[in-house]
Amino acid sequence: MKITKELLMKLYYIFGVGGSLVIGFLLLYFDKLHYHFAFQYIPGFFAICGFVFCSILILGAKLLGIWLVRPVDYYEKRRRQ
Amino acid sequence: MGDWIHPGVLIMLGAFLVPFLGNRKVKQVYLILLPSAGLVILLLTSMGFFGAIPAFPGALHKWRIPFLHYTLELGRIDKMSMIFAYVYVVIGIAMLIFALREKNDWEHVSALIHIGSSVSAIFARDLFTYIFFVEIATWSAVFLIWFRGTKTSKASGFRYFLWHVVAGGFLLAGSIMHVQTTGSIYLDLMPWGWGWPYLAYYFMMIGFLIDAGSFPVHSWLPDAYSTGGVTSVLYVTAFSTKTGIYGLVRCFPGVELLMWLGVVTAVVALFLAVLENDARRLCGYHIISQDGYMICGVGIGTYLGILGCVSHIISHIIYSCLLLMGASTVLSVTGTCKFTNTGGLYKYMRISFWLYLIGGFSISGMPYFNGFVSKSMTIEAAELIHQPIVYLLLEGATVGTFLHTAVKLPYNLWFQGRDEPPADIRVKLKDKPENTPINMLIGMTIPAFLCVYMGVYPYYPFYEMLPYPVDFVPYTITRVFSISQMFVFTFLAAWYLRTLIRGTPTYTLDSDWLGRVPGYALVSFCRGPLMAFGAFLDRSMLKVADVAITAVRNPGIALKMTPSAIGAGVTIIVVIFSLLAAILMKGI
Repeated sequence: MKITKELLMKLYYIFGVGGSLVIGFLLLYFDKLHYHFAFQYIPGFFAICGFVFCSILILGAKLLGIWLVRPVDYYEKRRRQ
Repeated sequence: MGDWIHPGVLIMLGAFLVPFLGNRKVKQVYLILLPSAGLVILLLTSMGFFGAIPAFPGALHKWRIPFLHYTLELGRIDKMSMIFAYVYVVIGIAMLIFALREKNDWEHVSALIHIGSSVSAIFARDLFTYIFFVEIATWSAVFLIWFRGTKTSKASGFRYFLWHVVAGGFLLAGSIMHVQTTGSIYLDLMPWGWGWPYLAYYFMMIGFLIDAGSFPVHSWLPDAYSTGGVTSVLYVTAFSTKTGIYGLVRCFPGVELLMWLGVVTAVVALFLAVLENDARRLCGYHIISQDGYMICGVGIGTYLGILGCVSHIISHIIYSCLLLMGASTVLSVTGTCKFTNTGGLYKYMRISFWLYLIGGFSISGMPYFNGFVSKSMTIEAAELIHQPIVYLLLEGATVGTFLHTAVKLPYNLWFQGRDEPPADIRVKLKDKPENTPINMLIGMTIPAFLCVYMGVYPYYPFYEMLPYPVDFVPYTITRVFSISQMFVFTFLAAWYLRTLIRGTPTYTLDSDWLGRVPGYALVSFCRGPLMAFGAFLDRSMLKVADVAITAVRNPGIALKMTPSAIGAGVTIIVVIFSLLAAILMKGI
């Protein structure tokens, strides 16, 4: 079987996304996870953490970009003025 | 002087021989042998050849030099300085191998001076020796940045210099105040509190923080690292910020302000990194972010916090060197490392990609890479002091680091969904699976090996070398599972938003805007209105002088020639100036 991008993504969804959620629930159920804070025991907390933080980072940065992003020669122009 | 040979001073002095070695092969061998000699001295020191090293904070004291009423000490050998010195020298060797084909002798000289002075700063026990060597490191770093030879590198080298001179000034001012009030000149635990009596320590902390690249005084870092020489800037990236953090670890452990500053630094740098188009600037922001972890560890100040900080510095020097080397290989082979110009390089630079990826996984804190061990220590330290906000922000920073260094950067440089690179880059590449020169690959293999070894088996020699005894077990089911699940879902979000993480041909403003734009305004004010006013003053004074000369030579004609009021005015001015001159002359 040829390794394609579609196949890799399918494997990622099944074993990565699905697998990590199932393992997470099982580990929690059998009391194998030991955390310091109560909120860490929320099922799928680290999944939410990863997804939400990553989205906040990308979308937040794009919002910040409205003020911060300038043409490449921004300082050159300033210097010449 | 004692029997111990100072490895830092040896490397610094040995550097000056490089231009006099005629044969290129001899020169290359010498470049490796010199820091290796430093490494041998360190190994002998560890083995107790120069005396047994007592348990931390005890130290061996070598090279004590009387100076005025004080005794300067160039060799404080304890577990903290030894672990820093080891990693500096080993990574220095890896970088010298990476840059072995560089033909400019002075680049090697500056590099060796930079390595040597950084090692010397680490071994310094007193503040003045520390500042002296940090300043030498700054000077050599400026040259290393200038070796790129472009107009932008010259400008950013100057900015780097200005920032570090300011930092050095603060440090020196604080140190002098400290020495005056306490009489102690040592780089040791400093008192901390709020109010005027602690002004000296605020100055010292500002100095260390500028050197460490902490928010909001971090902007020199991506600026200098992205414009420096292809191979030469690597040395600057590895040592300059870490020497600053070393100062913080020695002087200000447990200062809560540092904990908060650290987490803010770790997170803010990541937001700025999303908008970056240049691979080296992006790596620069990641160095800032990781520095945030270390500063946070210092601020937490517990044993585990300090251990987390020190071990993270050690891991970080190794993997950040690997990351920058990865970006530098692309830059040296293709001539660019901007995301908008690259992509599709995997077919031609495979080994460099995989070696880079080891660095990417290490910095993200992936299990079985060294970043995981050291980052877990800092995060655990935050958990143990019950700081959920600090903990969450550090986890957020871990997510961001994975997003950028393990997804965004490799995707944009080596893939972008293309099999072939853009045509202008393709012509520079040969038809083979690896275009990177062999010495660069060997240079990358050393840190890559260390990243994996320290990740898989941190217990020896890494844990043994840390200043305090370590009973931290990094690989627990909880930790490995949690971080793996987090990365799986980080990738998911990155995959959905992948169009947003592509590079755009833009420049992102940073906190240096606050200095640069008013600076340019000041310069243009001086060039325009101020110069015009100066010229006007010049002309007016010349006119006055002309009239005065005429008046003095022939008062009658002058009064007839000019309206009487002007004549009187001129006379008064002449009298006033003469009086002033007379008073001044008498005063002198």
